[in-house]
Amino acid sequence: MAYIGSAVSGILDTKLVAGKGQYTADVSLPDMGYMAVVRSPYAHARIINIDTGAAQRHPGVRIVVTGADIQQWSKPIPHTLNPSAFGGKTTDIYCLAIDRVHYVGTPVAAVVADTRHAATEAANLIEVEYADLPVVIDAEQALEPDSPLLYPEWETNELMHVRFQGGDVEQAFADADHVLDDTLRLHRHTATPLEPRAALAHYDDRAERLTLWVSTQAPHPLRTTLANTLQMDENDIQVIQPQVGGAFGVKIPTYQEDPLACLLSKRTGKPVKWIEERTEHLMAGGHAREQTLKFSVACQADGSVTGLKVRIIGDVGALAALAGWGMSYVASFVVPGPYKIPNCEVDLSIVVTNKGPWNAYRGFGKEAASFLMDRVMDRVADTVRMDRAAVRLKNFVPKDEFPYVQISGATLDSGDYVKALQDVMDKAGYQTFAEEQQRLRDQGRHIGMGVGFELTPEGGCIPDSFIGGYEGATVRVSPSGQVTVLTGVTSPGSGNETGIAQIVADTLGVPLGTVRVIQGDTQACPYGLGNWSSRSLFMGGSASLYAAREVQHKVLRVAASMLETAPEDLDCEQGRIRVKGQADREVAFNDIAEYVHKRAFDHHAFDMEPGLESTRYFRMGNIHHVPDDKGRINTYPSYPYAACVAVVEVDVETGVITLLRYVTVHDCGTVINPLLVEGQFQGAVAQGLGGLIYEQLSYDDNGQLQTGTFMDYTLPTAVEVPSVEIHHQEVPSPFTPLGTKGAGESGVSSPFGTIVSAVENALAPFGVRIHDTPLTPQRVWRMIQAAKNGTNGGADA
Amino acid sequence: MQTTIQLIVNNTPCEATVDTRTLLVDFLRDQLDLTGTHLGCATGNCGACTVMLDGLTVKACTILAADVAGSTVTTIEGWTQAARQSGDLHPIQDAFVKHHALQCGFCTPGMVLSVQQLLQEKSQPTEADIRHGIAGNLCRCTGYASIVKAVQEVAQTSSE
Amino acid sequence: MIRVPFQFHRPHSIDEVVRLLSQCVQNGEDVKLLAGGQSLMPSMNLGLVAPAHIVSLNHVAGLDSIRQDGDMLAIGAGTTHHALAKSEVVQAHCPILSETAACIGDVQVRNRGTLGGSIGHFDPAADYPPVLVLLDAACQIVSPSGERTVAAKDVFVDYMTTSLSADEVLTEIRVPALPSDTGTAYVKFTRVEGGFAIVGAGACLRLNPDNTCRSIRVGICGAAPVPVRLTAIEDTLTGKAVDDAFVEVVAAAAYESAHDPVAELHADADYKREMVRVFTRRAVKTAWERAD
Ligand SMILES: Cc1cc2nc3c(=O)[nH]c(=O)nc-3n(C[C@H](O)[C@H](O)[C@H](O)COP(=O)(O)OP(=O)(O)OC[C@H]3O[C@@H](n4cnc5c(N)ncnc54)[C@H](O)[C@@H]3O)c2cc1C
Ligand code: FES
Ligand code: FES
Repeated sequence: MAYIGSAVSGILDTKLVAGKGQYTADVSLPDMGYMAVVRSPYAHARIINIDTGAAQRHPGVRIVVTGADIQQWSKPIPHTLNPSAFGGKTTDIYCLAIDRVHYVGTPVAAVVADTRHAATEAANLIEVEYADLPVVIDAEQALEPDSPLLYPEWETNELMHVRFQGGDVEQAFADADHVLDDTLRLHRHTATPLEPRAALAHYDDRAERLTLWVSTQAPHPLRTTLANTLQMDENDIQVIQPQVGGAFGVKIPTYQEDPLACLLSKRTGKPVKWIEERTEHLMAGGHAREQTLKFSVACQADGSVTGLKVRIIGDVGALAALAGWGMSYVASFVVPGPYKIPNCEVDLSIVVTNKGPWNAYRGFGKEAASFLMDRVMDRVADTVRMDRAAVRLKNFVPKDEFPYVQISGATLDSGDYVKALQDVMDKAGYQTFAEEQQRLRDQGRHIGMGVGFELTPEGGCIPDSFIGGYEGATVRVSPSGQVTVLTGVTSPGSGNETGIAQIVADTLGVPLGTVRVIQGDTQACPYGLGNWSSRSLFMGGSASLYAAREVQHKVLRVAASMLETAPEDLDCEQGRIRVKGQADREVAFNDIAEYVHKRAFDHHAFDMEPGLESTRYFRMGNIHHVPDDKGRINTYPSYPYAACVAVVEVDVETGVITLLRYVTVHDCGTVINPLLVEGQFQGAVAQGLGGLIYEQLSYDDNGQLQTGTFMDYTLPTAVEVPSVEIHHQEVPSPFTPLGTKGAGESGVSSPFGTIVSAVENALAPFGVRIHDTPLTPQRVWRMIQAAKNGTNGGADA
Repeated sequence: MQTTIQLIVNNTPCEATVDTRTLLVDFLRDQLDLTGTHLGCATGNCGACTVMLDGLTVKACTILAADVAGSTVTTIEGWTQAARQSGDLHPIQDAFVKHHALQCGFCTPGMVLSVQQLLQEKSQPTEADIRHGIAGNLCRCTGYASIVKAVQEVAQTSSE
Repeated sequence: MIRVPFQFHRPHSIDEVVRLLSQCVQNGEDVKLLAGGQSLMPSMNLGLVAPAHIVSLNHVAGLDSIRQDGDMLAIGAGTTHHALAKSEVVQAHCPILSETAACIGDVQVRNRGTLGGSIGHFDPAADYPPVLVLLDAACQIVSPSGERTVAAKDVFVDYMTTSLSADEVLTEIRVPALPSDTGTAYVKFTRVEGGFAIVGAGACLRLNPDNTCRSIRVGICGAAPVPVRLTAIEDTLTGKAVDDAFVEVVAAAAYESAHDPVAELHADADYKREMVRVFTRRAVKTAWERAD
């Protein structure tokens, strides 16, 4: 094993660092037109009339379309996750709004013109007449009986209601030493990758084929969806994913603009390019996180948590075909996370409002569950006057009880939560922190330490969807010994291509430089579901491992025949195949490759199947779609986790929080490449920190987005984000051949609970309790003032 | 409305006719096919469009192509070509690769040029200098730690 | 992307600039000067501003000079934040101005954005205006009818409104060369690095040998739609002992002066007033530490 486990640089990095990456917006075709989308300026309205006359006549315009045309020419876009499959409501989503708009930014019309300037000019000439409808932007109000309805045919704004229950909750509460309640509010924010969405569609009239270059995470499912929407044969569609400039979930589903661009290419007979503007992305690219989390917890005086009732209200904005609403479902599925709380119930309402639709974002609801459980543990600790870490240690699922089934059916695979938390406390100096804290407090400085724990289920696999638990890969060796790996998983910059190359290079015993990984082309790659839920390396990598093993088996067989020994007696390293212990008896991997291709009928190869190529699929274990006796299923096969400690300083004059340290012990199973895993974790923490303190999608009462540009949707810079101290605890997954569990998402969830805990600790002299995010300076400052003024109830903010 | 400009891009004199509305970033990408310069926000916040204008880093989405007549523009492509030393890349780029100071690579060309500018002004920056020096370049992937490490290594190597 | 077409002008002299401006104004056509573009271009990209003409200042020679002229510094309107921050003359004689320039936006914004553009745009959160007001800076303005000098405080008339008319151009800003014993500081409060100020406070303080106040000036942004200068108490503090209580008096006066802060999403008026107090305190303290 030369490469697995080592910090190999990203195999695409030398290209990307020189600006040679080709992203979708960089791809051009002769005579392409540019698409501009007209979006609703109102949060809720009926479309009375659309006058496209002036736009049609504008010079350079090739086509102008509205919902009426779209309804004629195409079908609704299949939902990435259809709520109706979960007993929820649904609605048809076409590429453009048909007669009603439900949020500011709803696409209502589109133009294609010769130039981008002409397209936007024409878009400005389209006159849409709207009739206002009453707006509802608050989820709890939306649940009131007299609330305006987004989809009147539902007769409610509740998209879905879900309940999970286990044990005897009422008894646990009756027997408890303490019962305490709280309400937490997470605010709306989003992934907003640096590369906006983009698409280049080319319908070739002569070949009757459609090619779509698109910034997506899931090319194959996208092709299937396009075929449905456009009523074409899948065979006539090729989806190509160029380099993707970050995705973090938002590029998983099929967006309305994807089939729209295809359709307009077909209608105009020429390629159509669309590049999203940042303002469009922030209003319509998909939002996340906004949830109210109410809990009631029963505990004993010794800190053991015996019962938990949770009520989650997910404000998922308007419904789109994106998978966003599923995040609120997952939030409820993951409760109570890493803790053993047998008596537990979760009641979830997913609610639509006149705000931008939710879309997948790294964390996918697990961050809400982490935040909730971290707050539960902190509140219990404070109530029973125990150390916050000690309460967690007391309630963790013990390491000898895996697999452990939670009330939802979530089947936790493996781990050692106690050790992870103890280790991170040691690394962070948890036990000695109080002295330092006091010393600085005496100087008027307020630093605090918090603990947190995130459970990050990975590899999500949902019945009857393309969110699935399998992956395919092809390994192909050319006559010159070069290796091509074609995968169904893709990389939006998360580095799995490097990890996969490492696995294949080690398995074949060849230099890494001879391995090329090809992803994201439906014409070339085996069918696969793409990149999300940290699945790419542990599923795609496992499929690649299987395929590479099969190829290697043949290579060794030929080599053994040549070297007059048995395959088991051979070693292959850096392209040299040697008889174990006999350095002089060797043959080159490349020579075997050439031999197999050219001399398939010669005596070293005549009794085996020709070719050095294998396509294998990997099916993940620990997925249970057949309900158990309690009716539970398990949609997540793998449960990475991270124990974290944060150190913050709070400027009590301003409320400004500075994150000084963030230390973690992270278990993603076997680490294939620490450089990649740490890079992912660090980036995820930065997003969690950004979400907790700096970023907010804020709406006014009319449903107008107030933070629609990067001027006011403030992302953290290098000054705000400290370098995270990352330690690995490798408890291998029993369900993957290399023990990998999935990395990439983890890190985004823990900052919520960990930093909040640290801020409370820093402000302990004031007795501040935090319930709501974002933790803006103003909010923190207000809490401190309220505490100082003795209005301690008001210190709860 | 069109206007004609003459300027030097990546050491090569060039003359072009542009719509007056054309941003420098779009001119480079669409008319000169220099797609290493990226567009992330068009409000001057993200830094993905960073190029060198007359030797200083600027955000090319905040500059009109029409306004750079007579100037010298260097993009990541030209800079890499001119600045590389022994290998194919400049030591800053080598350090980025070594420390995996990029993931999706979308911010990277702009980030590299900002690092170049930083080290030009201060060859031995502190960590705080580095963080301030790249604050005009947002990265949504890395969380910056690996970038800081890469810059520290370049600075250290150059001092030896 | 800019949606509405416009005519682009590249004049080479101020005369030509003014001629173009007045032509447009006479024809009733909307015209904007373009300096660094760091405010204008984002606004145009977002479609918030759509002039019919753009007159660039970037091809007029000499607009970016920095000269010492007796006890004044004369700074060309086209001087970039970067040049101002790095200028040895400014660092030596008006360090508050270089400190202010150095904290604007980020490196790229400072490389391109100009002093004149910041004044011309006059964002209520911009950093120069309070400092220029506290320095009693004078702005040299050229219009079709000739040249005039206007005190900075009279340039910033209302929310995002200056006293310049559409056919006028700012050419030079004159600030005093401060005595070398002046302690100066500009501190600002932002949400993230490189962001606009929620509140910014500048202070210049000179001490008498007995540690009493010889002179103090304070300018603040974020306290009101226009920069606030603490004129009402500045003179009354002359001769007072400079100590913590002194600093508190200034901070309290700043708080009182913040009668009408522009509320923002994450900083309402009450909070901003409090921050005016905090940052004024910090500015004065730092200026005090730096005063000889
Ligand atoms: C990401 C980012 C962060 C920023 N952060 C800050 C910050 O922290 N603090 C801060 O103060 N500013 C900040 N700015 C704004 C920046 O300082 C601008 O440089 C400045 O506001 C405008 O200067 P400019 O030269 O770019 O002017 P332009 O954008 O070219 O012009 C702005 C306006 O001024 C007018 N104008 C320009 N020159 C003249 C002149 N000579 N006479 C008359 N009118 C003129 C123009 O017509 C235009 O209306 C930021 C900008 C960005 C993009
Ligand atoms: S695209 Fe220019 S700064 Fe973002
Ligand atoms: S590497 Fe993706 S934005 Fe920086």
